[in-house]
Amino acid sequence: MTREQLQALMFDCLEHDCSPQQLQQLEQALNAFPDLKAEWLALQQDAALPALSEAFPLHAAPEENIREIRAALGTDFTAVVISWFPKYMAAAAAMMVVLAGAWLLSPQTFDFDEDHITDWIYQQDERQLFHQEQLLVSEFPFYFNQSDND
Amino acid sequence: MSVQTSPQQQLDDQLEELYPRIERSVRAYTLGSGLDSQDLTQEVFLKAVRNIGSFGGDAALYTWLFRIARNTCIDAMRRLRTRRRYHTDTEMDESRLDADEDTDPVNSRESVRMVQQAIAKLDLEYRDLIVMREIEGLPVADIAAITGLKDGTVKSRLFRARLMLKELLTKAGYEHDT
Repeated sequence: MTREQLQALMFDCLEHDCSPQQLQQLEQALNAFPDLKAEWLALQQDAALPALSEAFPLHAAPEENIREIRAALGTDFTAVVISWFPKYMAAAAAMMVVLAGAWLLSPQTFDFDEDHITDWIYQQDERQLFHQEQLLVSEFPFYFNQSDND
Repeated sequence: MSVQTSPQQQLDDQLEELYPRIERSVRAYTLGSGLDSQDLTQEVFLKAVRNIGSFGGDAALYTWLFRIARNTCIDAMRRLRTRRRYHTDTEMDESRLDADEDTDPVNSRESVRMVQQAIAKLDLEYRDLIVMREIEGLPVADIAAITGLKDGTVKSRLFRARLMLKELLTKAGYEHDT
């Protein structure tokens, strides 16, 4: 057995992954390698290494990192929406506010042409006639009601 | 009828579970170097997203991600080492370990500090194997696939790595609780 094979076998035996025959074979072979035998004994004496995962506890993933990865993956609708909303929607909303303000603050003009003026005079005449008629009815009811009675 | 999920969907589904595990490995690889493990982990995942098409599904998603994390960390450590050659900076100093320590009171114990210091002192070749086996608990076959070594070589190097770690711990006066 080579040194590397022996080291591999020692690893298996430390992991309790070797048969009693293999263990016996290992111990016999180690007689030819005193340095390896010393290492084997050293590791066997205090085989249990500390639980290294205790020295490296798991940390929760930061939310913003997860959101960035999901946005890159294109699988998180919320993340994608949030990533483009501020840019485009805010710009569109600002533009709408500006346009609405400009419209409200602009001078409200109306171009009167001849037809509009004629219509307006006609409406005024109609109104005047209506009121005059109402006055006549109140002053001379007999005159106006006579035909009705007939 | 089973629905085949895309690699993107698989990564999305397991993101909350995988991120802390990958971050822990990155922290162990870069311990004492002063590199920011959160930044490197983010780099790992963004690389994975860019290359998600190369994930064939023949290996576990975690193993595939771990391989990217390992390569990213080794590259970052090599770049750092090269940069430090031109500056009078030490490879590892204890002040950097303080920055890597967790705020958890258990983690501030002296023994945890000794373990971290011992791992930080290991050669990258051995630290690599210790991270994969002792911290992440990967099977020898997976480690062999990731490193491109034979199973026997992985085992013999792991044996030597454990021996070195034990020597460093003994030298530091570490005594195991149990």
